[in-house]
Amino acid sequence: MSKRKRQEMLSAYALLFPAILLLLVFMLIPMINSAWYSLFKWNLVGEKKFVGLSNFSFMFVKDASFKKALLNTCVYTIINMVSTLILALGCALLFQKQSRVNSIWRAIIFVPVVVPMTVMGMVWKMLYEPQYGAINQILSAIGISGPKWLFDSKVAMLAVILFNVWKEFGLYSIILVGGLQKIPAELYEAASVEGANWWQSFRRITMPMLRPIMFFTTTILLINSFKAFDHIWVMTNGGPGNSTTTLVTYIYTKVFDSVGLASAASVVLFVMVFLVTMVKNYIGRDGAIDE
Amino acid sequence: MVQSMNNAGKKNILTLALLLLYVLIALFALMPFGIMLKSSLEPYSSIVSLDFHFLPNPFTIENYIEVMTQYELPRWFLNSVVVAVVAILLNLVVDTLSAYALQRLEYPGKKLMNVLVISAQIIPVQVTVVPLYLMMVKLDWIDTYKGLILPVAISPFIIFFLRQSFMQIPKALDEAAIIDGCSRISVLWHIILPNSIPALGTSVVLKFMWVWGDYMWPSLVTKNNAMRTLPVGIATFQRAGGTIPWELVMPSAVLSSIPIVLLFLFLQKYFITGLTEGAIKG
Repeated sequence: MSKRKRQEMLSAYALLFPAILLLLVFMLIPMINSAWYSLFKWNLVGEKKFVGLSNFSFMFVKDASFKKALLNTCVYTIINMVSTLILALGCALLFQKQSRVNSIWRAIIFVPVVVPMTVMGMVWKMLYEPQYGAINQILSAIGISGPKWLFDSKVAMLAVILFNVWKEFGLYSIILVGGLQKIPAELYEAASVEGANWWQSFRRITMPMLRPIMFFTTTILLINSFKAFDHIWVMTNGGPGNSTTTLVTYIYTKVFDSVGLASAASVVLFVMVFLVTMVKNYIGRDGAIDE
Repeated sequence: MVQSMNNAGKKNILTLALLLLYVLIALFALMPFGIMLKSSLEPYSSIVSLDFHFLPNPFTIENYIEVMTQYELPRWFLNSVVVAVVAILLNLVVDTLSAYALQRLEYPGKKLMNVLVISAQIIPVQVTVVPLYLMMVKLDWIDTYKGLILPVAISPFIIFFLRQSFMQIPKALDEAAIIDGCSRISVLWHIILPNSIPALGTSVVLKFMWVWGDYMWPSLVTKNNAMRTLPVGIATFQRAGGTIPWELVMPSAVLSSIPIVLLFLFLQKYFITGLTEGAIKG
């Protein structure tokens, strides 16, 4: 090996050293530990006892609270994904053209994205107050008596989803604006020469051309929905009853009394995220999308 | 004649509907901020009053004074600033150095390093939080700045993002500098960094936003009230007694939103490129 090459190698290792150290200590080793701890029965103070896969079989077969959390996570994911996509696409279509007004509006819908999730969760908790909260007061002004939102186990899940839609639709909308702006204008011109109306060109041009970016947006929404926690925790604590517990609120509450179960649930979450990521990358690599 | 009048009428209705839609969307996005601000400027009895009002009634800044003087809010604010600033500085060093090594240097094990960064990128924090918490207990790092900062001192996404922007800089520039006798580090300092200011700006605002809003990790690693960060501290207001002291929560919410909203207003472009790329790649 030439002297120059060896020098290059040594400087590379020196430059990478802090990153490798931090990645290993704070991400990869904890990840492996998570899988390892999931095989034990352990509550922090007591003794660690190896139990094989029985944490998983307990969770999936007997543990009603885990099953409920998993079910809730699915419900949350589906409703959140669909409503965010619809609102984001609507706004993207509305604000796609480059103009001064549109760029102001794009900034407006982006403001909720940047502020801290839990802080705004607290603000929405006040808006949702059944008696004096702004939402029910406005509803009652137009003659509707609103539900008890976060205090009603049938509505609480919808309420936390609505908050999340508010918090994040701007982000997905801007991503979709990027996608829309990449569609060549000639396509629309040709369609209008042929006499196509708005709906026809939307169906025949916009939707197919937007499919790759829609696919990506959907996978990101899926992953983010699986991880839902912060706002739910401050708004409902998983309640009332366990109507808003999710996979991550389950993990969070189990950290202190059952490390084994918390870790097993983390593994379940990881597998879900991993699968979606693989599908996303696989299709991305197939050339279905080019950035 | 009638035909064209009809068309003009149709057009007017369409414009009006569009205008209404714009207003509704803006109201949906911004109304919660308006109510947050209003409620922060009036006494508790007005916040919970049953006749709804859009302006503070009566107007007072008493809430702000109370929360600043009688609660730990200034300390939480300071903690959040310290954690965000130090985390950003560490990220700039660690992420830039490794992105540079990944993009520009050749060495055995480069592929492995790439795999390491990619796999770290897909691991959600929510998955590693349990072992990480146990590690902090063992190290006795609970309630320390080390414990708050070091786990967020690196970001695989930012490494990737920077690596991509370094790719845009022609390699011929490095080679010329090396022939002139520059070392690898001075190439990074004199050529790579000055040519990637926008990417560095994006990394800074992204990291600031993530750390400033972070809840799960700081809520686990801090037990002592004085060590809390803003989001964690504000959320504890809800636990005192059965009801929530909105007159404390709202001014705190306003104060914790101001830095990030100001940053967004001035550096919009960085936020938007960073977050959309982050969402797509991350």
